[in-house]
Amino acid sequence: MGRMWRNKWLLTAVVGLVLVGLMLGLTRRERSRVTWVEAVLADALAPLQSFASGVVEGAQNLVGSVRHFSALTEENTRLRNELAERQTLEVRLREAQAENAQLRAQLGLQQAQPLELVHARVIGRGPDNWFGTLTINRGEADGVFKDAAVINAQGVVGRVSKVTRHTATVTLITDRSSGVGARVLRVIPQTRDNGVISGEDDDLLRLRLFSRDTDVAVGDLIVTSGLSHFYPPGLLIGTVTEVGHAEFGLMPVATVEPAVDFDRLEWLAVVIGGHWD
Amino acid sequence: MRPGLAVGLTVASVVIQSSLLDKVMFRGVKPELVILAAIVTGLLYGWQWGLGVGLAGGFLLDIIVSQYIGLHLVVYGLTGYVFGLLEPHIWKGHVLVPVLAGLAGTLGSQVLMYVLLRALGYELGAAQAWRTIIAPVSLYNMCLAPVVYWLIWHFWARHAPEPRRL
Repeated sequence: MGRMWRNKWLLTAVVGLVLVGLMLGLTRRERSRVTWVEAVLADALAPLQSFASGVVEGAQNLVGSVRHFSALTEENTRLRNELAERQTLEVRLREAQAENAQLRAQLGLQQAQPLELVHARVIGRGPDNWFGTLTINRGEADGVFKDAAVINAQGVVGRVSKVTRHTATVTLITDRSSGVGARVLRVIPQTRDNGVISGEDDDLLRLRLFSRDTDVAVGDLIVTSGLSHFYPPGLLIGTVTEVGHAEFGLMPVATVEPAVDFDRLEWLAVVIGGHWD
Repeated sequence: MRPGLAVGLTVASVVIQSSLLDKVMFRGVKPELVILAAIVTGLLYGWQWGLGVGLAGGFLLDIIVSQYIGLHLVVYGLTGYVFGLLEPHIWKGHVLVPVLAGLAGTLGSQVLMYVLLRALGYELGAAQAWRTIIAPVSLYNMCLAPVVYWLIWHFWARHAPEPRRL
């Protein structure tokens, strides 16, 4: 009898491991769609995650407001002054935009449209330390689609790697699987060298440039090039902190510190539309 | 332990791990609460419970990650099972039990996770994985393990004084 039970457990374990092996094999690469089981479970967990992160954020904000009241008052004054300066800049920007539109029309170029964004709250983080992902509270029902770019006021956050009806998983740009077309942004002396930027083992990014003769330097800004289909051009990615070469290559590799503070992400925007050339 | 409480514990630990623990990150890592839940339930209630919590918690984490589905399930289930086998042989009141179990269990599970990830094509150097993930998470979990152990033991003991076999 005992032997039969032992065999039964052994058989169950073997069948289970074979099934898990199959699942692992089928899901080791990113998929275009998730199964209904994943979608249902992810949508069921979302309200709990949303509630939990909302409670903690509320408590943190409350404690922070009380503890840093004087600092907040000073910050408020500073921000008001900055706003006044920005309003002046905005007027000049609108003038430049109007001029740009006029010139584009003369040249027969299509007019760039403003980005169509869906704002989303971060309700969950990658549940372990191996994968750089987070969960947001917007999904297909809100127009979010797989591979859509995700940004915030600081710059590029990542892209949507999984979407269900009411949630989406965002793979951070610092994840090793990310790869975004990027270029160097410098006005004087002007350079627009292109490359591909991706995450590495640390929290920094590596920009592999296409040209050997680049003059990329520490302090240069890196923005999206627009070569990656879902990333509009000109979005800030980060700042160059080091320039070197690949281990066995001649092409230059720049180490880039991301502009986004990934430890403090609360609200994001998903780019779901807009035309860019 | 009652099945309903085990389900509650599993779901709660998954929700906390996926939404709150990034607020308490240390050296870029956060604790692995679900693996601690599997280890502790295994130690306190036997291999069936350790295996069950590990498999269920691991599966939910796999669903959230949505890639390599089955990875957490196998690693966490196996860890809960192994520590459940120790249940008849340990002195549950000893303060070192959760500390050592938290360290050894997390270390073992993270190393196994790394080996499986590498086998599946995930590119991350061993030294880097050890320095940035495996070692800090194991130490973090070692510190957190007594708290989880105490909470589960005392809270659940109140609801199910006699550990019950499946």
